[in-house]
Parts: sequence; C-alpha cells; structure tokens
Amino acid sequence: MTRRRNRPPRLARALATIAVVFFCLPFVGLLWKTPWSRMLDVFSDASSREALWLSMRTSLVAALLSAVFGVPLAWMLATTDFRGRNVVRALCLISMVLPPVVGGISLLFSLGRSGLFGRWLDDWFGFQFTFSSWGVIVAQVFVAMPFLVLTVEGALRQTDPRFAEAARSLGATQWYAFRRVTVPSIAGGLLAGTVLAWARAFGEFGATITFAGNYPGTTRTLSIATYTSLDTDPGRSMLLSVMMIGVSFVVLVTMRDRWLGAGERR
Amino acid sequence: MMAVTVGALVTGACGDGDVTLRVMAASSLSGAFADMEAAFERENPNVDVVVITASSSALAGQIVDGADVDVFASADDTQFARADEVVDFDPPRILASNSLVIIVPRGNPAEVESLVHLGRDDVLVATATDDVPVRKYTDLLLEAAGVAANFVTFEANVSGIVTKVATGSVDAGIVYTSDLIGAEVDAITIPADDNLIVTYPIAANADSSRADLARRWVEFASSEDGLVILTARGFTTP
Repeated sequence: MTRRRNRPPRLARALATIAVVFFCLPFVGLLWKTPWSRMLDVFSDASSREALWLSMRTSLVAALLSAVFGVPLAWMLATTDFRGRNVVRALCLISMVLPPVVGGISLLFSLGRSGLFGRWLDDWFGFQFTFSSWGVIVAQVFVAMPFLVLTVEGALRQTDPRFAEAARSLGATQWYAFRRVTVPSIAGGLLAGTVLAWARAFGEFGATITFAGNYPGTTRTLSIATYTSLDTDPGRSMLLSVMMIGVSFVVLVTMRDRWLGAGERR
Repeated sequence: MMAVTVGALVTGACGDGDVTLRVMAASSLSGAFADMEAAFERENPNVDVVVITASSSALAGQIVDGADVDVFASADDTQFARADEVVDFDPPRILASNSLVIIVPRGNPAEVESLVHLGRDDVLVATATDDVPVRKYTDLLLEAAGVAANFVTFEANVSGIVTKVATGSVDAGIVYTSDLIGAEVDAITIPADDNLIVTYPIAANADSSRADLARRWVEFASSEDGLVILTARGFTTP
C-alpha cells in the first residue's frame, strides 16, 4: 500500500506546533523544578513503592474488567439496533466527561456502606467497597471503561460484518463467530482501548478519593499519594508526578498509529 | 473573530467589583466567611471579596509557593507561622475559638458514646492526613484518653471527614464543634476536661497593595457584626 503524503498547509502546521508546545510546557516546568537529588530516596522509600504497586495492581485489574464487560457492550452498541441505543450509549459513556468526583459521590450513595445497594452487601456479606482496594478498582472501572467502549465500538464499525455473517453461514454459532472472527479483526482497536482504559485507571484520582478513601496500602494510589504530599512535601509530590508521567508515557508511546486508525481493514 | 469570542467567553464571568480582596481561610471557617463576604460587600460595593478555603496546611503551602493573599485565617498557629515566614503579615489576633466533638452518622448505628469507643474494632473512624490541624488535635485527644482508634481513611480536610460520616461510610470522626452547623450527623460531646480549645489567628498581609482593605476585613471579622456571624456558625468568640 502506498500512501500519498500531503504536506499540511502552513497555518495548520503552526497551530499544531502551538498545541504541541502547550502540552509540553507544563512538563518542562515540572521537570525543571523537580528536586532530582532526592529521586533515589523518594522512589525507593516504602510508601512510594506501596502506592505505585497499588496503582499498578488496581489499574491492571480495572483494565481487564473494562475489557471483559466493555467489549460485549461495544459490540452490542455497534452491531445491534435497539430502541434507546443512544440513551444507553450516553449513560455508559457519561463518566468520561463528568468530573470524577461526581462519579465518586454517585458511587458512594449507591455502593457505599450506607448506599442504596451497598448496605445490602454490608448486611448480607459483611463486604464493603469503601476503604478497600476493590473500591479503588470500582472507581477506576467506572471512569475508564468508556474509553475502551468508545475505541472498540469505533473499530467494530469499521470491520466488515460480512466476515462474521460468512462464518455463521458456515455453521459457526454467533458466539463462536464473535470470538474467532470479529474479535481478531478488531485486535488493534481492542488493544488501544485497553491501553487507554488502563492509563485512565492508573491516573484516576477524584472518584477514588471520594469513594474509596485514602489509606496507605489499600486505597492510597500513586495519584492520591501525590496529592497528599503536595502540602507538606512538594518536592516529593513532584517526584511522584514524574513517576506517574514516566509510567504513563512509556505505555502510551508503545501505542501504534494503526491501533487507532483506519489501517485496520486488511 | 474567534479570538474575540474566546476572549468574551473567558472574561464574561468576571467584571463586577473594582478591587478584589483575596481572603484565605481554614475550611472550618468557610460558612462564617461566606456570610461575612456578603455583609462586607454590601458595605463596600466596589470590593469583590474572594474567600479561598482549604485545610490550613494547604493554604500555608499555597502562600509559601507565592499565592496572592491579602488575609490569612488559620486553624492553627504552626500553619500560620509557616506562612508568616515568607509573607509579612501583621501581628495576628485571635479571631475565634473552637472545640472538638465526636460525630456519628444519624442514629449512631455503632453506638459510640465516648472517646474510648473509638478504639473498638468494629468502629470505623475517619480522620485527616498528618498535616491537617484537626488530625493533630484528634491525636492529642486520643492519646490523652489512651485510645488507639481504628482509622480507615485519611481525608484531605475536615469536610472530607464530615462527608464520610454523614454518608455512613464510617461510624465516627472527630471534627470541630463549628462543623456541626448544617451537617447531617449526630454529635457526641467530649467533656471539657478531655477537650481542647483551638484558636484561629487572623492577620492582614502588610505587603499587599490592598493592605488597608485587608485590615478592614480583619476589623470587620472581629467587629460586633463579625462575632455574631461566628457565634451563629458555632464558634466561641473571645
């Protein structure tokens, strides 16, 4: 395949350059102010590692759960035509644009210990999301899954439904065709969606602190640790920010153009 | 054309009031200072008072980082002193005092009656992070009572504690008496002998270009009118 490379107009290039600079400036400012001499101390101390490890664990589980529930949801939204589909889509994606703290408050009143549903969990099973790592994961899935759903739905809409139909005409069940034909054809989009959802979960803050609280080891994720140390030890806060930026950047940089784009169809 | 539109959108919200007075106050003062803001602006129509509330430690941190401040009212002397090191504040005066109280969700589901009950395993307790004044006072009270509380979360400020209790996420917390006003919680009084008196220093920034106005705010806050507001908001006044 050959691609025609158009040189974009000068104005577009200028505006795009400003946008790039705009995204870079804050990091330049942060990196300039960061007390690098303390890096080893801060990165190696027990509470930082505890927070990083908690963030890693919870965000990976959150990304996994987002994929397990989000792919079927995206598939339903992309391929079936039912009444109220737009309403369902809006409900499932709304947490993307809400302030995360609103999500946290809603979770508190529904799944919190005295929440509408949470109180039954407490009464029947003695189980609580609040102040547990599961609460962190619930908050992360709530804000992160829409990124996966949106990406995967986009990918599904670009695939040719005739391949799955052909598989079915050859005797495959609908589930088999979905698993063996549809999913492989959207592998790029699925990967991109999962990575985006993971990154969003890794950086989650507002819903987590509102719903799950702030306790070292169980709910104090790296982003909450960064916020907690801002008042007392800004230098530490900066180094933890650098840690977050570093981890997220490395993961996002591995995302290939083709996972996001139309290069999907072979 | 687009630049004009963007400009109008950005500036559209502001525009009233000729002078802006920036008052930073401990979270616990937010209700009282909101009332005072309304009264002060009525008396001084060309002034737009902006009250910024957060934990005293967060505010002191912002001041140390160079935030623009005309008046600072802190919930403890340490945080005031921290800010005073970088900004030339007038000598502080004591604006009000407060004591501490145990709060529990409505109906007191865990049947918490005293400080000692906060040490029970089945009582989940919310408090704030180390640097927030209310945490320091909480630790002092619990230490004096010989209690190791079952903390399950460390909130960023007092309102975080109130929220966690009001929503029933925890069974108890310790906050200021003034936090009871308007809070959807029940209170368990701590006897005076076991309690603490917390004082709030307030001072104007002498270096500010609006120092005179800032002093007027301090005067107003400690005036008869100001004290009525503080009392109505649950504070004890000197």
